[in-house]
Amino acid sequence: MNKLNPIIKVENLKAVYLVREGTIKAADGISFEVPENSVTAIVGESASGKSTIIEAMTKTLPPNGRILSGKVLYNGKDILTLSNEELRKIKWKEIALVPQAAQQSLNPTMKIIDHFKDTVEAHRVNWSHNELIKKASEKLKMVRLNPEVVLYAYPLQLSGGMKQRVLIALALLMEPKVLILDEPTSALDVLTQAHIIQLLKELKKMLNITLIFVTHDIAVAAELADNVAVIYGGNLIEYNSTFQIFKNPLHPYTNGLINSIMAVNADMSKVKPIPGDPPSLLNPPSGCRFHPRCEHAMEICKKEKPQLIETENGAQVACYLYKEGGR
Amino acid sequence: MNYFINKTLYLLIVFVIAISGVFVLVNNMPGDPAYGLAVSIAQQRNMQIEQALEIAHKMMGIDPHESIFIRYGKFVSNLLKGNFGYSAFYNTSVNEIIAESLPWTLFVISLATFLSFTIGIFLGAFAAQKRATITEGIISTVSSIIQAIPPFILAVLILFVFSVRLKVLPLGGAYPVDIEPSFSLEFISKIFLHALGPMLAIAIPQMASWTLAMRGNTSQIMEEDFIRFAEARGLRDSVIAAKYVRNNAMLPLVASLAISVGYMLGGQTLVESIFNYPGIGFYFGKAIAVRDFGLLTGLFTLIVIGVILATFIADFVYALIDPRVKLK
Amino acid sequence: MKKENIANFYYDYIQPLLTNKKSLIGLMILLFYILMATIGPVVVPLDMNSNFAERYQKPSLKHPFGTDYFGVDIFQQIVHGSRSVISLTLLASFFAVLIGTVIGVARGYLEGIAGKIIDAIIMVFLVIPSFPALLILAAIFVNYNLNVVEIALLVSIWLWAPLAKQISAQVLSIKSKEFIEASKMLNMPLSYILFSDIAKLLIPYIFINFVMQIKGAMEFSVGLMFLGLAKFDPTHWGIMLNYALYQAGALYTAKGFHYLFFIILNIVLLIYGGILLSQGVEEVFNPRLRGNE
Repeated sequence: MNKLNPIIKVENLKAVYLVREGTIKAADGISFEVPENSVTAIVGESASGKSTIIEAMTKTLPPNGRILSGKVLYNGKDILTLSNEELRKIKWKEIALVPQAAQQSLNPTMKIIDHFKDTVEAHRVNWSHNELIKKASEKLKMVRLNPEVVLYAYPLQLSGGMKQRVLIALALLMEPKVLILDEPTSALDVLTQAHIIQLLKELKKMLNITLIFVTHDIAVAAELADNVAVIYGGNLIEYNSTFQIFKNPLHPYTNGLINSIMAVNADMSKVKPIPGDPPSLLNPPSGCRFHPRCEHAMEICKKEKPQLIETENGAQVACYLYKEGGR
Repeated sequence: MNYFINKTLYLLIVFVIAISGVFVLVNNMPGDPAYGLAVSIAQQRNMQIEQALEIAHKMMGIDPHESIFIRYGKFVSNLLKGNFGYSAFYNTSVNEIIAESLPWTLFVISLATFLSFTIGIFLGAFAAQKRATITEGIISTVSSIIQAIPPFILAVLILFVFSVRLKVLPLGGAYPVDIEPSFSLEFISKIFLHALGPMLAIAIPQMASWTLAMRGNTSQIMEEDFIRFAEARGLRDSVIAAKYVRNNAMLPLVASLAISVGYMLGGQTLVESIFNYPGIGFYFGKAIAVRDFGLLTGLFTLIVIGVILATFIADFVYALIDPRVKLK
Repeated sequence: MKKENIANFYYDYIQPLLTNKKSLIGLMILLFYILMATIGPVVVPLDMNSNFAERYQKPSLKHPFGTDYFGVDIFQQIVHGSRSVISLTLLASFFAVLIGTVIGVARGYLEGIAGKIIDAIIMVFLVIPSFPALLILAAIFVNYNLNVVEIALLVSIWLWAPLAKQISAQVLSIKSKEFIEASKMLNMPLSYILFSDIAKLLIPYIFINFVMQIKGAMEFSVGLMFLGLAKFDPTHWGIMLNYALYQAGALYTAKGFHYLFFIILNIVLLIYGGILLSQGVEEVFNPRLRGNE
């Protein structure tokens, strides 16, 4: 696994959501490193806490979310401790977040060009009107959209896929170092999904950019990512290169995930869903949160949560089946 | 374009039905419309009431023996010529009365609408921002209570407290009786002073409505995804509050502006009567009291035209500013 | 089976209304006045005889609200008047909701030209300014000595239109939803579809509207009385207001304020109760409005 130069380092991030019934422990001590110019996929089921991680990383938690502890180091600096003003300067210029469900992320009463204009003005960049149009068109072309049609349109005139691409173009406008995407393909039909994945592949080649994206679809991760972080029940349970994750899944959950993929040419008899239900984050199981569904569960799994350790191959996994530095 | 042609036709049909309905209603009111006039003629010229009635009928263009259909026809043809009829009580054409009174009513309504809308929008957005604080609670509760006060009751209260007791506001009329109308600053300020009472009586409950509506809309909009995306892009709070929250929250309210004006027009009768303010409502009230059918029908027709126009303009303006409608 | 239904009804509809602050207070206010209307006149005597020696007395133990221009106790009049006010207002609201619902649902079901005709009728009533029209209508009947029901009907004619419009919109949108198709596919008669599917969705909506109508019905009926166009009970608060202003000139004497004040207080309180209840009911059935959950 490529360990050069982590541009982002998350240390022991803990975040919760406050609800009437209590607290949802969505991120329970997450730590990982993102190497520069790599593509990292954060994979997990719905409500596994994967979105929470990037929400916490970019401080875009909803009103009932709270970051309890942890650090998010960007080039060595903890962005969680920055003031709102300082954070606003980094936001978008260096780290850009493209949210889920593009449908509602654009202001229905503003044209697309105005969205670009707002973004530019917010960062005190002094582009003339013509320069703005030039740059915006450049980014729109990058995401395979026709600027002449799109720039002067209102959101309602664009399809879901087009809107998603507009969001990505907006994200690329300030040429950030890190681009984070939350479920870039989820709300789209299969064809559009393929287009977006293709687009992201091209961007990866064209630009000097670090990509982080969250998805529940491990197949998308397989296509795009260099490294995969698997999230289960609010914990990071495995982190390895994509190749290794698929060839040699360590954690029983990862193993189950790989086995439950249905490829077009797969043998249906070998496809096995993971038995049981995903854990409640309101009242999570004790110890390792996967133990109720794990066929290798041991006594200690029920009592104490396994820490993230590094195996001899450089893989990171949180499971008592493995020992530090060995198998 | 099609949309507008359709809408116009539709409103025209509605107008015709409305006017016809009113015509039928008024014609069913008991009494002879020319009676009042006949009495004054009989007194003036010292003649028998029957003769006076004949003359009165001729003056008003009424033939008591003609069928209601012919009367309707005359009414419509007069209307098309811009003639709103004849007032027996005031012994003058309705058009003249309208010319004198309409400006006052329009003055009060425009002022009231402008003030109630702008302040209401501002207060509502403010309250939504201060969500779940005491400030918001106070604004909401007070607005709720004020909303419950019918305009004419507020008029009575204002008249009593400010005019009678505190003597800050005048007791009525559009301008003081002892000053010559002119364009002097003094006179113009008196005009505003006299309009204050009626204006506040209609504006204050409306403002409370707008406040609550805007607060509701703003709270909803603030939860929308595009707000969070705007924050994610690093936009300043002031920009978000204006372009993203306020503009979107205000839009549906613009549509109700027409209804608001229609409501105000309707309520003018009581409020103007209480303040003796010589607008359309005041004369309408008088017409009902003295059974002046000509004036009644004429004024009512005018009010209906006013409401339809307001609806039409509001729809038009709304279609212009909401891109979602513009492009359908 | 029946007991279960009653229990469900309680927990689904009644209990949430009792826990929500707004609906509870609104309900209490309304019940207070309904109680006043039903029991009040029995408990409190009414002495309408003029007693000029006692006129315009300030509120005291003997006269909780003071006396009016003629020396008649105001509190007694308010209590007795509440009967007319409540019955007129509730009847008018009821008729308005009845007419509005029937026409609204009918419009929802009729397509094509019949539907457009109903649309036009609704539009006519929306465009005609309600209060002036009510005045004309009342003037027509001014010599007829109408009773409560008839006056309530006159008032309701000018209140039903907005409800009809909203209901027709709702019905039209529900129509296109899939479960009705399913009912049709199961070969059930049209009347079953009409009542069970749509009725269930509209009931909370209709109840909210009924309570909201209280404001309009009050404004119109009190305004009507205030202008003296429908005399049927001299203790009706609107008529009291008319006397206070026009006969007694209470406006122009400093002494008369309590006369005006208590009439207005009760009118506004009743309307406010209605508004609160409707806000509360809306919050209960539309959780998004609840605010900070």
